Amino acid sequence: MSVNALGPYEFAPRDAVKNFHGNILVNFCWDRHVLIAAPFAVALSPGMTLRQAITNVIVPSIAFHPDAAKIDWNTVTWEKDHKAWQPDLDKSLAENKVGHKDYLVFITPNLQGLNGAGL
Amino acid sequence: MDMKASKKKLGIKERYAHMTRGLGWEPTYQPTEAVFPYDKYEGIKIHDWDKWVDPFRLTMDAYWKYQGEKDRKLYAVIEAFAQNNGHLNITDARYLSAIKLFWQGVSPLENYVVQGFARAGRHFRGEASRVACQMQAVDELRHYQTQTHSISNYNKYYNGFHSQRHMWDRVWYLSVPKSFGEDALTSGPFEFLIAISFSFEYVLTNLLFVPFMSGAAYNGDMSTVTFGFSAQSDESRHMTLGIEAIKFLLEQDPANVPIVQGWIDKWFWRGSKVLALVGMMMDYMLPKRVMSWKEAWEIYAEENGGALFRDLARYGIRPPKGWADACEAKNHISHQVWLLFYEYGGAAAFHTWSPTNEELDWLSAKYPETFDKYYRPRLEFLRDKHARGERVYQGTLPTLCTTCQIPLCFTEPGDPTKISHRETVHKDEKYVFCSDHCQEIFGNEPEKFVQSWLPVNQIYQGNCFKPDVDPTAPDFDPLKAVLEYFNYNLGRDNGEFEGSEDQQNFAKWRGQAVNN
Amino acid sequence: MSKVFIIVQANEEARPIIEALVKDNLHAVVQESPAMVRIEAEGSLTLNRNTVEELTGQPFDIQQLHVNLISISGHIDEEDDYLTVAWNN
Repeated sequence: MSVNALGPYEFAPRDAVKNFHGNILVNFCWDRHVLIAAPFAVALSPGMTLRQAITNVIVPSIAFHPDAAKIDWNTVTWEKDHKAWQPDLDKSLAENKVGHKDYLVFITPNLQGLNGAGL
Repeated sequence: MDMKASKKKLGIKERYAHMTRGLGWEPTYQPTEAVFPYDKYEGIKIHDWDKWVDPFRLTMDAYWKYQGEKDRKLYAVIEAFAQNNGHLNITDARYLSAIKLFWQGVSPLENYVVQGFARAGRHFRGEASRVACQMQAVDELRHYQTQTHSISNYNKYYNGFHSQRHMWDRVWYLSVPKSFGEDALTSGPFEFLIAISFSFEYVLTNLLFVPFMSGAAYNGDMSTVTFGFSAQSDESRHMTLGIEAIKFLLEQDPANVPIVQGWIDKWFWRGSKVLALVGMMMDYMLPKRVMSWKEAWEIYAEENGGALFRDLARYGIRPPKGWADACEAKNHISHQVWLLFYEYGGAAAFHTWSPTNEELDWLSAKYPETFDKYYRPRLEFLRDKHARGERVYQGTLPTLCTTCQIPLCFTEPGDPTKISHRETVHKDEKYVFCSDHCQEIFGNEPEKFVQSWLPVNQIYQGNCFKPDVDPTAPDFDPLKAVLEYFNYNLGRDNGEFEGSEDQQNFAKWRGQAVNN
Repeated sequence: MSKVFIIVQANEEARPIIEALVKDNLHAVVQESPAMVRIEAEGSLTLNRNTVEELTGQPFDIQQLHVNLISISGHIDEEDDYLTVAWNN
């Protein structure tokens, strides 16, 4: 469907990648750890490795969660586009085919969240 | 010739007929279609505009009389409140945060509705509908003005009230009501009417004004309760018009039914998301609470809205698509939104805090199925951290829903530890959503929502700094620069309530009110 | 059957309105909250001008209800002598 309008109604998307000064916007959600109130949206260089993104941005942002220090990033499993996804942490975002505004979920099955209740 | 004056006054129905019928005219030097260009393209068919009747049959003369009386009463209270330091009678300075959020996020919406009804009143062909829209535009202007006059008294003493108009166009959480209002304002006049008069006013505003304003009374805020109920007396008229408008559209032509149903689906869901902010105000920001968000939802949405949709079933209208999910969310949204604001408390222009034990117990009792399991442990954990001197302030920006613009803090229906997210690719561009319904709203009008001004994304694009800021400077702090762009007084408007200037001033002034 | 309601401010002007509603609608239930009074009933509620006038000894215009009304639910039928709210289901 499309907008019902009297005349032509077409606009450029406001968040096109060209507006991000060479970066892409990437969303990160820690699965079953809702003490982290919302997933993060971060602007990253596509040449940065996934491990650098994790170390520089994600680790400090989730550090207050008691499970955060226990994460073994090498055994974390991932989802992208609602499907299982196996990135190489030491390859760049571009090489891992992480696109602009992708939504990445990292899953730590051995860590059950606050009270073991997924919080 | 002498006219013999009739002895009997006109009855209410005759008066209404005289004051709303036969006021229009056929244009002679322009075609009618050119005078009314906007009331056809949405596909709504109107065969007889005279079938529009205001059930209250309010005419302009009576309108001015009763509105004048309401204002005289209200301004007497505002004067007395100001003269007698009424602000010191509120229960607790934490209460002020609720009023700040109302002032920052709800009052400007009133102003948008003025514009919308002024436009609808211009563009409908039927005279009675135009009179009704005109009254409503004036009502909403009155609401904006009376809220300004009432709340300006708080601005003399407390932080966070100072830059409403500036913040409205910039601050991340205010983009939620702002984008809601702009979506309605940029719709056709009939969609606007269903969005505001029906879905928002009829189905949802009782939740905003009735229990919340009763809560204001309970917390000693005479000024807010008076403007709130004065506004709500107009709202009850608007609700009546909302139900009249929908009956009118549905009875005019069967082809209108599916169009109206689509708007109900969209605007019920959009309204329920905006009201998540009110849920948080009711459950967390009122030091004394009248009822929980869940109870208010049950009375005003489920019971009253349920009665309404049973009534509309005879036209072939069903409850909105998001109904079941919105009802399930009554157990969660107030807690999820409060926790979001607590963690992002450094970036909000009101204070957040940890609830007391009594307040936690109250929430446990009101939300027996969800609070102890999903929310109390989080609140207690954050409180303990704060007590150890490690108040949590999240500094990494959250993912926003492209439609409702709320950070993705909501969970899957029936799965309260799984953050809900949806994605759509439209013309090679990806868009993220919080729910099936926000995704569907986008899917119906992608050309509209690709324009969403999402604050987080705008910050990363570099559009949220003051003009003289140098983002390449070695000591550049982007978060601080954004908050300065919002016009926050850093450390006074934002952050934790405990130790805040508002808390200290209120305690000091109240102390002066009871001691020499 | 569905419930209808009328909510008015808890003040002196609204008191005869509340009393008239209670008097003329035996099935009505009154709920008091801070600063407001909610009168609810199954099916319908009627406010009669005469009843208010008998209670106050003063003329009453049904539209005076607007001054102290907070909320109302149901379809409205308003005449010079009464106001009824009801659902059609």
